[in-house]
Amino acid sequence: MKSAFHHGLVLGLVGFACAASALLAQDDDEGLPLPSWSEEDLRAMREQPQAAPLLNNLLWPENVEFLAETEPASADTPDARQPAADLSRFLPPHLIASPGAGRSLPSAFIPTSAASLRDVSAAFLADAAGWPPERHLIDPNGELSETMEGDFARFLEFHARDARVRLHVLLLGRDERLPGAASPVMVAQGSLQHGNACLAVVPRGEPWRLRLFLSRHVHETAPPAELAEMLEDCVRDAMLATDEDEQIHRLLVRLSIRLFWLERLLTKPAAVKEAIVRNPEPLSEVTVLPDPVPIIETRMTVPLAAGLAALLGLIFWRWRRYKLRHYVWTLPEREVAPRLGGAHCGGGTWIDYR
Amino acid sequence: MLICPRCRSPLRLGGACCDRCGCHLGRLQQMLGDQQVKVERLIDHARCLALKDFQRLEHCLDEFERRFPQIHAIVFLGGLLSGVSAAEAGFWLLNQGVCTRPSGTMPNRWGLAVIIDPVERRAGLAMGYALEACLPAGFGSEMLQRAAVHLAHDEHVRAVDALLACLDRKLRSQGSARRRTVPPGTQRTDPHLGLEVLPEAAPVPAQSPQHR
Repeated sequence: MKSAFHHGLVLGLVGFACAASALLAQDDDEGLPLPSWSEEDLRAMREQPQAAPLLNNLLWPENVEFLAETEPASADTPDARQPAADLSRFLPPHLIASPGAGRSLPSAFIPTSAASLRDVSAAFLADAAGWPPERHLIDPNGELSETMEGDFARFLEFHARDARVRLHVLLLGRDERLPGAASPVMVAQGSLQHGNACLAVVPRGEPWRLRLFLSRHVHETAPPAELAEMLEDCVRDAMLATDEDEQIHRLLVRLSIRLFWLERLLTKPAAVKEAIVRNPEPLSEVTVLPDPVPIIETRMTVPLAAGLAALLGLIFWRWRRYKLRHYVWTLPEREVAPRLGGAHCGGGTWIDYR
Repeated sequence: MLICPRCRSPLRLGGACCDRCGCHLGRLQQMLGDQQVKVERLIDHARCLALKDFQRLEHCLDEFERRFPQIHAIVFLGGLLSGVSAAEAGFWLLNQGVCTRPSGTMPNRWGLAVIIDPVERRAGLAMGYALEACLPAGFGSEMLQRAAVHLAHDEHVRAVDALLACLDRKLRSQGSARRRTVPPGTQRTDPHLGLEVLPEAAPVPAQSPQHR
């Protein structure tokens, strides 16, 4: 009895829902206006019937002559359901333009020669040093347009909000480089000395000259191979783009992802990190990068080790030769009872070598 | 383990002769002579060394004796009497030979004799008592085995070089190293650089004109 009541209730609800949806659909049909076609539209459709919006042949104006021409013989074939259309109307113009008509692509990958590279000016360094710490995109030269700078700045702020390793980006000109004496620690009013931070020095248009600086804690915790792979991955991804702004964009996105991956390798838990932030350690123990080491140097470890081993081998070899030439060995005298009647020698051994 | 130079049977310490074959120095003196003989460092009776090989071998021996000034080495290449083994020849050579160097006569208890018979293709090794005491038992056979690799190809210089290198490594681990200095008394103070002075030649009488 009780189940019959439930069945009846369910059926009633379903019926009410169907009736309500039918009424709403009818209201929608009545509310939507039919498309109207002007003479120009009809002329354009006649000239380029393949480029006209089809929408399953339901929105054609009446009495169109070319309808029969475009309609395939068998409407059930896949070609009929997905007719060829001119996609040029749905793509940005610069993507379908001829390669020679747009910007010059090859210049994006022509590296500046080493002789042409110049150190950034003292004013640049002073601007970078006095840059506000909360602005993670450091662009003293004004390399970026206002729109791109805003986009990148928002992206870096978003990264800093969730990441344990903050990301600061120092933009250089195409032919600029950091002088050897410049200390990345002083960038952004020394804010990189506190907490875990990463400074990416990005020459505009030349992502292969990317330099990364990490806080000492991060640098010592993460495996060198992982850091080298991170650097290579960022450069590789940036090189996929030819546009300079797009290169920076791809580089930042990839670097942000890799820094999030890097967090998993950091052994220090978040609670400990917060405690350190609230109670700063003494100056000598603060996890800063007083002597930042570019990650690129980790790739030189194997050649350096091999060179050191070769040097040690050479020193040992020279020392051995020197010792063999300038040293003498004195053997201890031991008494041996004479035998076989010999006063000085008591026999020997022999072999046949045939 | 000490072995007899003739039959290779083990020897007793201090034994006057081999218990098996009766080998002793007196028997060899009957065959090879009981007089003292002057021994050069490198003897090539077989004439199997070219001049270049001879110089290389001299250089090897020089280097070895410079590092171990107590030791003197003798290399003998030549045919042996029938009935005399290579080890017996070395045994006799170290007991009957007198080896001199610029510093004087070398004590044979620090001597090393390498005997190679290229005709019969056999090689022997004998060491003085003092040198033998610095080496483990059976080390002589090991050195000969290393040299035999080259001897089989008639590379006599390389064979001696390998033998000396093997001995060099072992002795350096046994001895104490010190920087080489010129020993006192080495510098000569006598005239003529220590060379023997020839007797003055008798004056040649002037020939008279009548003889012409």
